Amino acid sequence: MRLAGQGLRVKIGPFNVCIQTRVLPLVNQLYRLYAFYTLVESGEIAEFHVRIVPKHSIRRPFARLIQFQVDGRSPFPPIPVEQALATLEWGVNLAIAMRVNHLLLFHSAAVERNGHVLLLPAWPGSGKTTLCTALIHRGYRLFSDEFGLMDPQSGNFFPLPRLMPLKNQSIGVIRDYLPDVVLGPEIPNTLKGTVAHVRPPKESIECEDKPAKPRWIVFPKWIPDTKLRLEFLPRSEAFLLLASNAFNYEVLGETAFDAVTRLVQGCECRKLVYSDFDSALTALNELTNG
Amino acid sequence: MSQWRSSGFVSLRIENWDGEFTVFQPESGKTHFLNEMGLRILAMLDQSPATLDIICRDLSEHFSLQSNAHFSEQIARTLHRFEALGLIAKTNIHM
Amino acid sequence: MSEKKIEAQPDQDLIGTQTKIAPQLARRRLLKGTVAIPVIMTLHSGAALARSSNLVGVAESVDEAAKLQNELGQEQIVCVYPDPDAEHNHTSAPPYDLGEVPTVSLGDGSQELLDQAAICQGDGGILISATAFTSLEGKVVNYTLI
Repeated sequence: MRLAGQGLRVKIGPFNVCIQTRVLPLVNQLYRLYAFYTLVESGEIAEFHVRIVPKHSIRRPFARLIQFQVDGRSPFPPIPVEQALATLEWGVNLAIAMRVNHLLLFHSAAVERNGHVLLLPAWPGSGKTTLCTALIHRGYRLFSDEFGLMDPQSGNFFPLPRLMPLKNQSIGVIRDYLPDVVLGPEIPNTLKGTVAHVRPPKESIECEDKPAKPRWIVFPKWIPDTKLRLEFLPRSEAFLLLASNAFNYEVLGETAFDAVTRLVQGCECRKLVYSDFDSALTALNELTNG
Repeated sequence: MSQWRSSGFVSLRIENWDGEFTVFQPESGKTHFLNEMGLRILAMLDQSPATLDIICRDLSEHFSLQSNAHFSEQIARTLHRFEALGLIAKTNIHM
Repeated sequence: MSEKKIEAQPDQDLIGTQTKIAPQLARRRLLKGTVAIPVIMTLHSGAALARSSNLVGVAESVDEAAKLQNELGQEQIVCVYPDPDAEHNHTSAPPYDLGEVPTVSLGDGSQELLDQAAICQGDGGILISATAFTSLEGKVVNYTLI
């Protein structure tokens, strides 16, 4: 009811997101995939107000279209109603990426083990969402598959456990590897191909207020039929890769320079080449033990 | 005849990563990545302005390199890059 | 931010100074092994949004949208089209992958900017910010009219 009315205020990590929609298929999907999130009272401030609204097109009168809105603006054109969930999730990510500047935003997956954060920054072909999905179903706590959210002063990372969009072949790979994973519907024909969203584990969402210090930075790369390699990465390379893949490095200026310097100096930096989850997990478990 | 001098060297934030350097330039808000020779040029010009010839001589001695026309061309290009980034400036010497 | 500018750096530059280069590891390693030349690379930020797959943010209003002027001095809205075949990027990121060679149209300069924007969006296109366009410009092969 609230979804259709004033909007459902959902706490996701450090942010409150107000979601409003009457689009029924999306409502049903959200009730299933957002089941574990805490709802916040309407009196509390929501950082993002997003809506998915039905849209009529003169050019395509028979198409059932919807449009994503954030704070009353429509950054994307109308799209088929079947893609509503994918657009909502991307839209919220885009809003976070473009508006959050009190935290340093790395383009990176982040998980926690033994009380410390393992960063898995993105680089082409890394498959970070897929690897992240495997890790969080094997004892790691999800922070985010997309954003490494760092407080530049304290150096703490904040969890932002959102739905994780698997794409194309990754969907089947994860279904095979993790038969019990809860996935949203397969959404074909998006800009990224077919997408299906992983529901974050309940335990990760319950701990979404618990930040942690980073300790490991691992740049993963998936290469089929390759023997696993977990190698040292020079810190200068880690600096360059992290800084150039941050969403708001330049906006934060010297603060970001200092923060990335401290982050890299305080972490073990590795690159990981893998072709199967089991060996990757063994290697990462060994790295993050104790 | 012209010589080069550093510009705002003292304000640079420099981190050493085993002989490679990340340099934050507050004036432009940019971060640069320099190798040892790149940083030596900046540091040298901070000590005192120098001509291209003097810079080349210092570098070739310090890095045990042979200074020839090709090397000198490379250094000249580097100096122009540094100038474009606002890290150094050119001054004219009146003989 | 512009991968194109990065790639467009002629390789002969490798024997000289490097500036404005994305920290691509292979290239960096090449430079690292070369002590005989001075090296400077300038970090490009904002790359996470643009990255190699041309992910762009979208202009939130016509005012901040990228525009060009035609020969009559009239402003034409820049309208870009998401790549329908994009699926190569395995990373998750905000939408709008414009593909390797972005499809870009210009509005009809004789019309109001708002009308041009509406036509662009009705045509399945999106408006991008002037900043995003700066990083994209070099990749555009040709412009068509909406």
